[in-house]
Amino acid sequence: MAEPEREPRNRKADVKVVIDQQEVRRLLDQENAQLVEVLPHQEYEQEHLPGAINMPLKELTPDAVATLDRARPVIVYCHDFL
Amino acid sequence: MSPRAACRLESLGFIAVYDYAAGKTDWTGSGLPTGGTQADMPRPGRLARETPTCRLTDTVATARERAGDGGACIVTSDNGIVLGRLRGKTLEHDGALSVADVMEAGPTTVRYDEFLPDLVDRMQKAGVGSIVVTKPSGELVGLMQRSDAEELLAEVHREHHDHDDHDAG
Repeated sequence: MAEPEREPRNRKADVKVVIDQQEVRRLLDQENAQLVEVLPHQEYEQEHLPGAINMPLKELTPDAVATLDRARPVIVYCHDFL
Repeated sequence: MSPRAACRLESLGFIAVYDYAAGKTDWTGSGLPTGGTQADMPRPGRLARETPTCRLTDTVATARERAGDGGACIVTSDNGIVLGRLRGKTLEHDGALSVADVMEAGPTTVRYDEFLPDLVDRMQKAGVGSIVVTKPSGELVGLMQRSDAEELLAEVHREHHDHDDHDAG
């Protein structure tokens, strides 16, 4: 009996795919990823990654995220690990 | 925040969601370009100058030759991670000795994007003339001279002062 096909790891809702800087750049260059800074507006205004849009964590509502393209990868970031 | 944001997006039905967990700190610390009102602020990494380097297996003679008039040679791994430094008395050791035997291990370093005024203040209080600048990975960026930072900050202060005078006048 054939083994059931496993769901790809990054397709599960409870699995975070953590990536490094190199992978960020690859996704942006090669897969047209969308970059989202989830810090408050003021911090985004002071400094952000090139091409990033701002969607503060508190504002991640269904309406707000409707502007994102679901067919493209989305990369979220904040300050750091802390 | 970003792990929660990633989970939130997945709960809203997004499939290809990635968490750049090391975040903005990692990006700016690596000297990569940014946007925003503070994108052009002076940073140690932008002032850091290329500095002579050597490997653990090199001799003191080699390090001394490379240090030249600059007076310092940074010891790095093959992929540029800072391991040590030779300067002053450490460069005066027997030339046949290996760098690993005499180097000052684990020198103090600062991040590429450290807040420059605070850094200069600390360097002045400690009487430090230069400091090694690295990326978050520990990879060498270069050596920042305190005098370069002081000059830049003085210039920024003058420009700011001139601008204020112009507005007041």
